Amino acid sequence: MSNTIKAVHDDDLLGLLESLELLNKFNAGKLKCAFCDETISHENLHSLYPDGGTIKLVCNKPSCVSALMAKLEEKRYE
Amino acid sequence: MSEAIAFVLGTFGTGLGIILLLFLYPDKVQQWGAMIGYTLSKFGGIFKSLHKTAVRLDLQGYINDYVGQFSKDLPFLESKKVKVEFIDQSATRKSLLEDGSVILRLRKDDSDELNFVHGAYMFVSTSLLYRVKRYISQSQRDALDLYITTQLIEKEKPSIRDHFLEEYLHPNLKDPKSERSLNYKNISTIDDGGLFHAVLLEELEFLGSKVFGNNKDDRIILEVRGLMEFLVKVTQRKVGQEDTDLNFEREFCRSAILIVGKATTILTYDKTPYVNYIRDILFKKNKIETIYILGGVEKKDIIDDVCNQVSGLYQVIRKRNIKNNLNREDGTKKKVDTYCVVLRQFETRLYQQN
Repeated sequence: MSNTIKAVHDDDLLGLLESLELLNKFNAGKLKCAFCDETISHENLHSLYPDGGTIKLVCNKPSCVSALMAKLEEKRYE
Repeated sequence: MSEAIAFVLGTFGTGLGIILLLFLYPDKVQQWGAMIGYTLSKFGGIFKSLHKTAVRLDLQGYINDYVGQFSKDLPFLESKKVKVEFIDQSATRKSLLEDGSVILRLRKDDSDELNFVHGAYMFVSTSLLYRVKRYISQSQRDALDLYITTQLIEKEKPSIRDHFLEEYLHPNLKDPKSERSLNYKNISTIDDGGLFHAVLLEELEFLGSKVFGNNKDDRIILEVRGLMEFLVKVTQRKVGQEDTDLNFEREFCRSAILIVGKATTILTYDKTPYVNYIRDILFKKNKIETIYILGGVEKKDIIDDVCNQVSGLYQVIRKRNIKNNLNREDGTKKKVDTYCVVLRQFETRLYQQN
């Protein structure tokens, strides 16, 4: 169990996306939420998480945030 | 609090006083740091980057303040303090994949305080009540997380409560017939009756400790659902109503609530009926593992004496004062100060799968 919240601040967000080779897709509106398939934008980006060898993004809809938490629980006990 | 701060600064001088305050009230100091950081960052220029530090201190200061109070009431809960760690913008895909953590995006323009809402919910979901949540269903877990996050926000950031309810809680509970909504409603009723921390979380933690290390099991999920329904009935019981079953005897949970309430019983028979009931019925006959003794705070000495008289069978694991609502015959409620002692058998069963 971890009590650390890992985070990226908006000051570093674009730099991080560039480092992850996701910035061009982000700017072009080609990144989708891992749970609802909605386009990820600067307005709705909630988080990033690694899954199945790729980095996935999640939007800030309550249902998607809950789905992310459920996914984390699953991964914890795998 | 402000008097304490004035005393520390006055007695030890500003420099030493601030160092002492850091030790005495680290969460409050982080909250102040966040406030100063947010204010300065608005000036831009060299202060612009202070926003990032302010967001970190804001989350840590307010969440840890709540966790400190939460763990005073429930010391068994895993409640180490939260730490916000920023990912470097040059972090590589490889390092993130290896680390495996979720990276929460924290906003610079955050008029709705979404940073706090998302940070608090993530912390509650991933860190608090770890052992408790291991064996319950997704909807039970969601309901617990939402309920505790709501409490955290109401306590620490009441100004964003309405926004949280509208944008976060209500959408999660939009289907009133969903399991998540029903569980949330049950937890809310149990808390209103004063039994959320005092009984439900105690019992869930004990259950988690008994089955820890095993695989998930539908029987446990059903039992937790039954436990919540049992506690809802107890909290909806009217004063003097005697037909409510106060024992919860199942495969994994064996607990009972004993209400020390009747003045006539105490006047006529002293504590003997309670002691005999614990020894002969709860311990010998029903093999109850945990007893929650509840009574008005004025009956504290009587309850403590009952506990002493059964100390060969049960050990006291928690004493606390709670506020709960009593349901009167006429349908109104009365908030009362209640003394609650948790007794547990010395030897309790563990469940291990082969």
